[in-house]
Amino acid sequence: MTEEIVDKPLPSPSGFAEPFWEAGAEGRLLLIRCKSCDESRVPSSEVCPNCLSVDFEWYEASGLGVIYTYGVMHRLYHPAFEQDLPYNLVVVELQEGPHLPGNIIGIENDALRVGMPVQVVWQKYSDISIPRFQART
Amino acid sequence: MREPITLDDYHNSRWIIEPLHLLDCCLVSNGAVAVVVSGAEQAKDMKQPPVYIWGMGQGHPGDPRSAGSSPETETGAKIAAETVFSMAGVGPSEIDICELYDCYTYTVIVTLEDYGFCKKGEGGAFVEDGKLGPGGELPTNTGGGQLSSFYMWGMTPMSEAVIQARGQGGVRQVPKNDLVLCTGNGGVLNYHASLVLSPHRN
Repeated sequence: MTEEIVDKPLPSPSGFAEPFWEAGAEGRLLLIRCKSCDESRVPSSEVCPNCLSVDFEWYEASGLGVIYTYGVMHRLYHPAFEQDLPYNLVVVELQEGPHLPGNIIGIENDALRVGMPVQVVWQKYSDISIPRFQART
Repeated sequence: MREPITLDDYHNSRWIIEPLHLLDCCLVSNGAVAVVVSGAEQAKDMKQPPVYIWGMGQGHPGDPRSAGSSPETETGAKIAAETVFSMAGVGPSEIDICELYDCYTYTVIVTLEDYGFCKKGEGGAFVEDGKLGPGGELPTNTGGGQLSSFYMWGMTPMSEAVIQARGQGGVRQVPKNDLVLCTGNGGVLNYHASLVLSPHRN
């Protein structure tokens, strides 16, 4: 029996969110500001969830935030993550307001706390950089 | 599931996703439930005692992931609560029995908060004295719910709500069954619907 090596699924940087991934490759975090209602958001939708406007602009965020909530995955949902178990999933409340999901790296899962200050770090995987977080003091 | 579960059993059950243990998660079931809905006049001649719909509510705030900023601590139940209670003309203090969608233990607590049985963030303390259990002040998920009985989506709470309102619960029948709150969820708790049911006509 041969061991099957499965790659982790990666985002496809295309469409309206392309500037987010391009900036990420340079280590910068971009967010969207709605030009109609001023609401700030992560680039998960072209449409403002607050006022439904499609008129928006990009701005560079601080990359700083705090852990809003987290969980630790003990169950395998995708074979490519087997070596990572147990791994954490966090939602970070960015200083600018929006919530960005990700993982905290460089820390034991038991040390995670709600409210812990974190900063974004970009990790390169093949052609794309993924935003993750590390603790800051 | 019919064997009593101790607190130790709970803590010793394996992690699925911290902070959820195996015993925080609903069962996986195959089955089917059907509900016959008719006018009140027609229902009078049917074989089973009728259950009357006093109120209906829905709340669909959408996917918090696309908003990127909405707190995950409020669900569609918050919106549905206003509609269902105002249509029924009652409030949470008048509800005798709750049949709540309980995909996870947490879902029951957040739903109780959203329906105003207690304040936001106080759900844990609210249920701590065992008021949701048999003989408690607010019997909830009297058939075991999705956590201990069977998972048939919103039909799990719905079927038990009808059984309790008809007085057909047998050994688990709650003596006072005038008003039953019944809830269902879809999505990641962002699509919600509810009913206030009663054996009496409003």
